[in-house]
Amino acid sequence: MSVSVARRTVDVSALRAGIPAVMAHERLLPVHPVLAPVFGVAPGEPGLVRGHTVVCSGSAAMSCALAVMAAPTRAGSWAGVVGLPSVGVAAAAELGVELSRTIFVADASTSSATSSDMAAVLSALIDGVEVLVLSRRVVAAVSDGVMRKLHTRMQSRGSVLVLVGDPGSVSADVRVNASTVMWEGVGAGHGHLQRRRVSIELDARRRGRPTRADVWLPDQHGGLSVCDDASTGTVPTGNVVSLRRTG
Amino acid sequence: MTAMSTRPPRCAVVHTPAWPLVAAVMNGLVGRGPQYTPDQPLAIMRSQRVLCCSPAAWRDGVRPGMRRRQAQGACPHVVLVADDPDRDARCFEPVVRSVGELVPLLDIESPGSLLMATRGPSRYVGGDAALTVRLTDLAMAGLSAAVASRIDPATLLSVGGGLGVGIADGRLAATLAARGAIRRGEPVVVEPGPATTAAFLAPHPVTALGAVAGCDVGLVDLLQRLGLRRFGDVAALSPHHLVDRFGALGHTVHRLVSGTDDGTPSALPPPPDLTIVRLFDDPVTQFDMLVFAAKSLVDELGCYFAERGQVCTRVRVEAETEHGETSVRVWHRAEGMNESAMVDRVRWQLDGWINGADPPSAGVTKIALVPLEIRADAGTQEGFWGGRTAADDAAARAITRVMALVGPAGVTVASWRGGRDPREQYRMVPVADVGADGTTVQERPSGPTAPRWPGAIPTPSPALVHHQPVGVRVLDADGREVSVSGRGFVSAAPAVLCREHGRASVAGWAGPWPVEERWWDERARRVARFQLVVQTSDGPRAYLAEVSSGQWWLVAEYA
Repeated sequence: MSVSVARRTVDVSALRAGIPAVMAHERLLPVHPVLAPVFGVAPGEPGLVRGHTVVCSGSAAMSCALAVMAAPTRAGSWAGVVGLPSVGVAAAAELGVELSRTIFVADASTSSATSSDMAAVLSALIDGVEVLVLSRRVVAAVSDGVMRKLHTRMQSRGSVLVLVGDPGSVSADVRVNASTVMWEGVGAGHGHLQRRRVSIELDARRRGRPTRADVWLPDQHGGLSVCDDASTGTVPTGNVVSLRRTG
Repeated sequence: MTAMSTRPPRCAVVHTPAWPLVAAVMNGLVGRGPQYTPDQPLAIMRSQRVLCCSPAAWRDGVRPGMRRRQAQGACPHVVLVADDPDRDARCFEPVVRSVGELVPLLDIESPGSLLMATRGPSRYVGGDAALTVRLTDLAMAGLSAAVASRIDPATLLSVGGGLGVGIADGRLAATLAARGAIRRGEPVVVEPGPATTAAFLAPHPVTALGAVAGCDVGLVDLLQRLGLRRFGDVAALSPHHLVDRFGALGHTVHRLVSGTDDGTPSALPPPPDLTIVRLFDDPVTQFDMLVFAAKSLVDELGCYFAERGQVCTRVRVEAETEHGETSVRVWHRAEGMNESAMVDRVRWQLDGWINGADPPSAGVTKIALVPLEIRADAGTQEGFWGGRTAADDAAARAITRVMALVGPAGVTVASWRGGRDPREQYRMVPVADVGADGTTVQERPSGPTAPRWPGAIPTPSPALVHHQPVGVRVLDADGREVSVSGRGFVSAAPAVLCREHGRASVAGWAGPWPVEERWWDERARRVARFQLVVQTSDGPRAYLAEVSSGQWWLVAEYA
């Protein structure tokens, strides 16, 4: 009995030795330090897993998607944004997206092009960029079969797909729900929007219980910062001077 | 150190700096493309940039590196021709053949540049000076045979900057001599001997190391920044100091600039039996099939080198037909040839031979590749900071493909231009106009001292900017439309936001921030802006709204 157990151990270790070691940075794309506790395969290894599909939903979905793509573009990866003509470029820059490595592609499905063109555009982009941000409309424009093929291709190329909005039938590896808790800075006729508290809930496949965190997205400078409860309510709203009607 | 005492072989170089221009004109003259004449301004385009331009175009202000539109702006009647290495090689073939009658063993560095050892030929024609004359005559004869005396070969060559012949000790010195010969208008012969070679090299700028010897651009740049601008400055340093600072590369550089190296560092003689031959039972007449067969040969050779961590710098390509006609060429590339570079060279040679002026009379029965010089593959080091990375190259390829699919206007990058309105702070510029190297995009000035437009909405910026504003109604607590007077007073506090698909109560608002822009022309705009936070079923949502002539619009959402 003991002999067979020993043999099995040897077999497993031999198999293990045959698996090529993959370094963490080859498997992962960097992630914003504030999002690090939420993202990642293991607690010690924060990052976006290459080949994964990340779905951002909720009322802060767009900001969340921009925050996700910021760190990889800073680290030298290229990002492609397809079918999101209304993305706020200024907000992207404030969140730290490197605009010189971000290309915006018009939504081919709105023009005379067909869905097969859209699929060709996406597969061409997957070859060149490491983060691909798509709108829900683009995903709806290509068939499920094409989407699966793209997904396979993306996994072999090691890029990350970020979907903004409801993913429909696309199978997501990571679902991020970013919902607005409150806006700070604006009163009844005074102040201006300063920061937003967002509750991020992340549900990854094969990761057990969802993780959640509260962040300022955006904070006073348009960036992303951690939300410790002590700082709640201490945002300077500026000097509120009661105005007097004149003239 | 014994290697340093051996003198590099004496070489002759025949060089035309802008060969692609000559090839384009020749191609037009022999009727394989549009008709060009040498007096027309002409420029060769590569990757949407001017690669080189003819003297006529230069006079009108066209410069290498310009974009298409800039070149056409400088000289409206300039003829722009796409770069085509195959055409260059095909048109160079007559010159190679003509010079090959005197010197059978030629190295083709690139189309437009020939290198040969002078020991035999020089003695045969009676000295180096006589050899330069013979080489010039032969090159001219080859050209005039190709264009069938429709044009004077000297006029044709003047389009490409002329023909230079230089003879010196070593590859680098000979190449520099040939370049100098073009400037002087007569062949340059550097007397043999280490002292004269070093004296000849000393005044050359170190940038020539990058252009001629294939040294890394970063190294050349660093040498310049260290104040070592000429070959002589570098050669005056002790080789030990260069080795201390740059390692093995420093040693190579010192040998290059002092003229004691023939340009191929640490070259090894290949094993004598390393010849890869493919014999065809049925003679092959189709060009594509030949190239395909050559590709499999090159792959085989590439595997051999990859296993040993080596790279080939000189290769002889031989082809033979059923009737015994042969084409033998030696190709050299100082940086080493990878598989695609080697396939290119085989294709150029076969194209020049089969589609040239004197095509073989039968199908090809044999192709052989004989590596002549091998060195250890040191690889290429990519830059730590800045510089182009592999990701940039992959992205540039992808962008080109996507542009072909959706049209050049559909692929854009964002460029900051400033403004009060989130819609106009960034402009989307087609990549085709600015290039995708990531350097031409204007970045938003950042940092605490960065200027902001007076009247711009303070940070944070909205994450969704509607290019078609959404018309809405905003009501006060009594159900009346909220309006803004000409003096910027709000009629009442906004309480309800009515959109097409329902109403939402306003939880907070700020404004009005009046904007009166461009009142002097027809783009005049007079609006009052608000920030509205409304309560919806899935939490609060914030909008940027505008009131203009009594109508409310949602222009952006803080999504």
